[in-house]
Amino acid sequence: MRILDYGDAALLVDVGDLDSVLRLYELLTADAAGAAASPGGRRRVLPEGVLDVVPAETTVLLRCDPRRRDLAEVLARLRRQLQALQSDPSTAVASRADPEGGGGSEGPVPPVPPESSESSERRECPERSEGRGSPERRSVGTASAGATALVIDVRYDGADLEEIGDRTGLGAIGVVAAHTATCWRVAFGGFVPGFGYLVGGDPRLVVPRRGRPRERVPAGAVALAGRYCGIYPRSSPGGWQLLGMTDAPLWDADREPPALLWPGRRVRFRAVDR
Amino acid sequence: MTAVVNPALVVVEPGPLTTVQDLGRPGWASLGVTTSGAADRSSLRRANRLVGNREDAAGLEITLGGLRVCAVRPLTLAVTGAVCPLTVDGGGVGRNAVLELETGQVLAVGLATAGVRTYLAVRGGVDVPVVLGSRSRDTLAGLGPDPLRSGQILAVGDATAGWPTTEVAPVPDPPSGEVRLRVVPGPRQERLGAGALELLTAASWQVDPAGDRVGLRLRGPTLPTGGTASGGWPSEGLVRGAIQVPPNGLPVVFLADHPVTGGYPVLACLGTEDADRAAQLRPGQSVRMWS
Repeated sequence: MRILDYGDAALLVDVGDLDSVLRLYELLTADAAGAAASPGGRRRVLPEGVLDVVPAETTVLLRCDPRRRDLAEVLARLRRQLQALQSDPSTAVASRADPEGGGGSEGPVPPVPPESSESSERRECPERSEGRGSPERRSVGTASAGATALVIDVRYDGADLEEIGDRTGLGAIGVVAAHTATCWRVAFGGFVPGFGYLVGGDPRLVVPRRGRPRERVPAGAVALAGRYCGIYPRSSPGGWQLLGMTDAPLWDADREPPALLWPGRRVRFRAVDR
Repeated sequence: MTAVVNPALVVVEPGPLTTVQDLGRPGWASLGVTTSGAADRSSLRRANRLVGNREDAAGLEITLGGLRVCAVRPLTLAVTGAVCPLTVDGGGVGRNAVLELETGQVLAVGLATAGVRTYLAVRGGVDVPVVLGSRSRDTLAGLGPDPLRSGQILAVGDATAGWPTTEVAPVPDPPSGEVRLRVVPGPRQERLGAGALELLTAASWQVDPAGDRVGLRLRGPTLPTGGTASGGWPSEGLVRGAIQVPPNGLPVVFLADHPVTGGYPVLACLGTEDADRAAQLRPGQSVRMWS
């Protein structure tokens, strides 16, 4: 972990990889009552004096209020907190508590090396549907809505599906099977409001961006690029490879939380006909 | 069309771009929503203080002037920020001062001659629907109220904080000559190489015409990219005032509507007040950085 100065009122914490980013984000934004299981946005508890915590590919940005009189103390306290997290083996190397399958176990979890994170993603993925009028379904023994996986219904009729099938050698049917088989997780946001970069996919689904981006990708398009899966919340230009379409309401500024996908949220995709 | 409660102003001419802005919507960056808000926050705050508003009340951000508004009832206003001729029914009035408009009077904000963004505060604050805790227009994401248009009726709210305590707030106008901005090191200063910050602070830069509320591009010598130009640099969080070095080596200074993350390394960052001053830089204007 490297703590980098970023102007007068921010710190950039470089932790090197996505798994560490997600752990640090949850540690920094969860309260004692386990707010890690609560929805994204404002409901997360931010450290005192911090306006935004922004996870990205290898870093977490902590943006503070530059107008606070005690700004220097806020920044110093954050540094101490980060250093304490770094030196505490129970937090620095493993998540605070396993919100998924642990059944409420609070003890430290052994570190998961990046190579085997795939299996941990698959370990358990209880579901919560949010397709077109699908009934909500929760697995027995799941503590809260935040710990269940959101199920997103997808019509796998994307313009690049055949090509992805050829490129990966899986064929179109194999691509759909692989895409729906794993539990994905929102790593971070960006691009536009409500867009989430999802990780945890079958490693065979890693595909490059298109050589020439499309001028217009429709809202609801489910797409792949690199190791990520994403869903376009609105119509926009885009260079990701299109798998299909969903009607899931990804963004609604009048809803709390406004985004369907927030950092840390688990997602499963389900194939539907229409 | 919905009826406007408590109408106060009719927009006669909106100018090239006039938006409603307050101090933005912090707290949503992890969902891809930037803070937005007034590009020059100190000018909006000053306008609000003059009319006895809370500092975070919404006002109008007028880009390059050209706004005309008509009072529907007696109003207390103040105009700050970029230098521009200001008239009430054709008679000159002062900026950075409390103004009283009678019903039917027209306030005209002429073309800006120094600086870019003029702020108009009206006592009570401009009242438009709140989106995620703010009335600001985020031009990048298209959140918040649309830019003003002719014939639009604006309401005022109750975002007051006592009564005006001062009639004028004299401040230096945005300069039309060379501007000096203070920078502090950014997170990737080391990665970009020792010479990068040195060159940033030694060179004279010119503001590229392609600037907006998202950011400014600067023209000048090519900054070293420390091998990051070949691609693959991970996206990371941005702040207002961040100075990013894209593959062409020409710095980009981010303003209020910056994306929440950026894909190129950040060399340096403007101090908070200097991020406000950067929002008043005009195309072609000269800038020097110091640290």
